Amino acid sequence: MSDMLDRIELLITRRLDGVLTDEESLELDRALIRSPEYRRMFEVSERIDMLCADALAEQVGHSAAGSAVVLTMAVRTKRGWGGRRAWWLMPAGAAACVGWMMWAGAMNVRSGSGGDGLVQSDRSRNGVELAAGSDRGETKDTARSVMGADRLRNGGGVRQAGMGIPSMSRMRDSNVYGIVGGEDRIFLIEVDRIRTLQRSPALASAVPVRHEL
Amino acid sequence: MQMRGMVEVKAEFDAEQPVIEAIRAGDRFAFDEFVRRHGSWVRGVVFSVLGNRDRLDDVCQQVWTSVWEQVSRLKDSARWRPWLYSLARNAAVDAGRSQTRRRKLARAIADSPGNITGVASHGPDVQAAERKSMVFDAVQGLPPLYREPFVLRHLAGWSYQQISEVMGLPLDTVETRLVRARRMLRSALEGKV
Repeated sequence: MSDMLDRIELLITRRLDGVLTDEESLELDRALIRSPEYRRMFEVSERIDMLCADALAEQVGHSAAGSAVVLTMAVRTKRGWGGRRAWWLMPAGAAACVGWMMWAGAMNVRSGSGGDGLVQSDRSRNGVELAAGSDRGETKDTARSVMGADRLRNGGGVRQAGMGIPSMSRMRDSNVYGIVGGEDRIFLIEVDRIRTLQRSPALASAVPVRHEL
Repeated sequence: MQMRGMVEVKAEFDAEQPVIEAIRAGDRFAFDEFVRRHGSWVRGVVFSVLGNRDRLDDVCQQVWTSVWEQVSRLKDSARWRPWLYSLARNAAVDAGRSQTRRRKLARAIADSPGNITGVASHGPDVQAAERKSMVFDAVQGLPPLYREPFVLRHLAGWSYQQISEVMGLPLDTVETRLVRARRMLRSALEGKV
């Protein structure tokens, strides 16, 4: 009987973890039909599993600090900021925060033609961020603007745009893209270089648009 | 349409390897993204070793600092997951050793009469919160041997294969530990949740 109980426990675990074979599934179903005790064991296990997953995700899964703090902490070594006076890190971090805030209140981007077809970034998706069907129109990308157009008109500076290639060396060189959006707007787009590496199959054949400003 | 210079991505391509290479080169954006993607399961590893949340954030910060500082020592970037797991686990073990007395005190407080279960609740939200707390305490109460694979399974959603790879255990052993973890949790929680 104990062997049978052990066997049912094992099958229950496999079912909860989604690794049951068809034969094992049939075996477990038969056992559950025959025995109220095994049914209860399965129901309790299933419920506890769900509660555990929720409790762990809530209590352990996330840090209140966030990754920005982690990054700031991580660059400090025991010798202090990489062993040299990296005094520029703090103002750079502050500038990054300002950039993020500007992004949050950045102008709307929408899909469409005419060069201003930019889709708001969705960080939950992986895929090519800059994929254009043709020249300067139909930019059906998922990127985010990092600077307002005003800064650009006033000579905010735009680096030469590059293409979204799954190559780290290229991404390192040009991660800021300028997309001309109509007559009076220029969007500066920061491409998430990590997502660019994970090119989604759907966008794999897209042609990137190169704009030089 | 074809893209010039495009590299075809193979099905078995590990998307994290270029990220590791980028971090090696000092790319902070890559590091930030790496932390965002793997922070949750690293926290799970640290928690499963520590058995409590007291120093979870601190230890995790140490882990990520170590990643940044030691990534150049990772010779095979394909082995990043076991490497990161080791960093997390070792940091948690070190923290646990130095905090043994504090942990015992924390447990004593958690088990004190002030934390009474079974008291009449004031509503469904309170009942749900108590239930979660009870469940979480039960997971904390698992022996580390069973808690580690259980947390990796339930928090990180790892397969048996992934757990086996990072923990250096046979698949059967991973499975057996999960069975026993669930048995202990059933014993602790049946009738209460």
